[in-house]
Amino acid sequence: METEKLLKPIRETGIGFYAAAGALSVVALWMLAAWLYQLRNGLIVTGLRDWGVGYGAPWGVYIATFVWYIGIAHGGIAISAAIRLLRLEAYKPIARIAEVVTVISLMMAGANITFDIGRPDRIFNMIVNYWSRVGHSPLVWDVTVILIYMVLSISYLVISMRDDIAALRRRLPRLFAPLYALVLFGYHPEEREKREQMLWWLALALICLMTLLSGGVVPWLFGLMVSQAGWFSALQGPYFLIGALASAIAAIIVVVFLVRRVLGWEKEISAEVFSGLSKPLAVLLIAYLYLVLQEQLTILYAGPPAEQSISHALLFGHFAPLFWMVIGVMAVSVAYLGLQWLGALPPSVGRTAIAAAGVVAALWVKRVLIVVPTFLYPRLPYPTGIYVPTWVEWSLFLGTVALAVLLFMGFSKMFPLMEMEVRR
Amino acid sequence: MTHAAIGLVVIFGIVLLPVYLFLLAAFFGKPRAPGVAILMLGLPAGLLALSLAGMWLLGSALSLVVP
Repeated sequence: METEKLLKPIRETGIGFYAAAGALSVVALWMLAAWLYQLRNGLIVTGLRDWGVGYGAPWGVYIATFVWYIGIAHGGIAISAAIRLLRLEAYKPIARIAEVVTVISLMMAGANITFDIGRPDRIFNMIVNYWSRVGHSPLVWDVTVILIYMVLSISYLVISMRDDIAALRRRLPRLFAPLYALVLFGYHPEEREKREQMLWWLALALICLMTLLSGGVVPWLFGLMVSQAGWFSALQGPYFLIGALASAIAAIIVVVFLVRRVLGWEKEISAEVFSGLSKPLAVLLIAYLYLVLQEQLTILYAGPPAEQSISHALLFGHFAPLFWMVIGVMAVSVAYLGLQWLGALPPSVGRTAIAAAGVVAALWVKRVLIVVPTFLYPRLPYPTGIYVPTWVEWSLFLGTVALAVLLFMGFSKMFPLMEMEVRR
Repeated sequence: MTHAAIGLVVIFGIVLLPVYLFLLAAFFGKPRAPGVAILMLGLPAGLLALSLAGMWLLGSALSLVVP
């Protein structure tokens, strides 16, 4: 019965799955069509323009979405690695789901970077000229570390599945037999002890790499740019790291909630998993709000004029509705999760997931507010710029979300979403 | 330190330290099983090669689309 339930999502496909997959495929295909249109006509079809003399923003929705996906990507492996390193048995049922979310989010992050490149056909030039760039270009640092992080994350996922696939191989769909053969390449049961030792060290490496990537390499893309008001700050590392972890835990809560609901795994994924994840999420949101206060107070009290104009735009001007919406959603989520934690409100899986979904959305908007304002309020005395994303940018953003869900659904039809060991 | 060298130190000297540690643990950590270690490390090595090849292919394919 237990194994049957584990294999049920692979072996049985309902009409709801096909309907959802069909709808998501349409959105993903629309994304491809929009990208083709952008490739044929150039970035002029987006709202992106040169900053300063161009009165625009050369970075917008694509870069904000890239940062957002990178943040989500870090939670999955971090949660899974923490489960292995700290032996958090209660969270084991969600480990694989978290790993898959990481891998898919990293792919979508890569897609958004590719969308943002004016000449993506020259993407390999970055590798050709690698050694002359890596010494001084934070962009090349990003490519290096994200590529290694993605490769190690996929390896972690695949290596940790070998025993399960070996045990279930005969009962898995024949259609994907070549894929299972690849996962099991060179497999023999005696490898288990060495494999577990390597997975432990790989988990440790991934947690450290995640911290250095989300709290280092990605924020350095912004924090090292002395020319951009609002970015050049040592605060960017912890700011980005906390934002990444918060959006990641929130995204995992949402995905696990949906999987639990759709597959009827209420018994396998207990409500305690959600209350357990909601506590670090509440702490991270408080820390994030604290850093927003630190940043804005420092700028408003004695910041340089360009920094002050950005701060004014965020707090009282052009971006104020979005900024206060983000702060409001975070504050309400913290209040709800905190009251639930303190026992003043009854625990609720559904409401926790709603609060988490709010945080995921709010942190996407916050990434836009990190990326865009600095270009519209430049240090040099140019008029204030303008940036309005076009349908192409919205199509590509929503398309990656649809594609991410579609890939997750595809994975659920090929591999078990929960480790066999949990069941045993 | 000049800008030209700082990235080498930051990336290969600091950020990738956890990866070096993992590689050392794979070969020298107990239980020692070099065969299994090589097999398991073949996966990230293969994926890295595949990613670079994929990047080249993507660039080549896009050059047919971009005017």
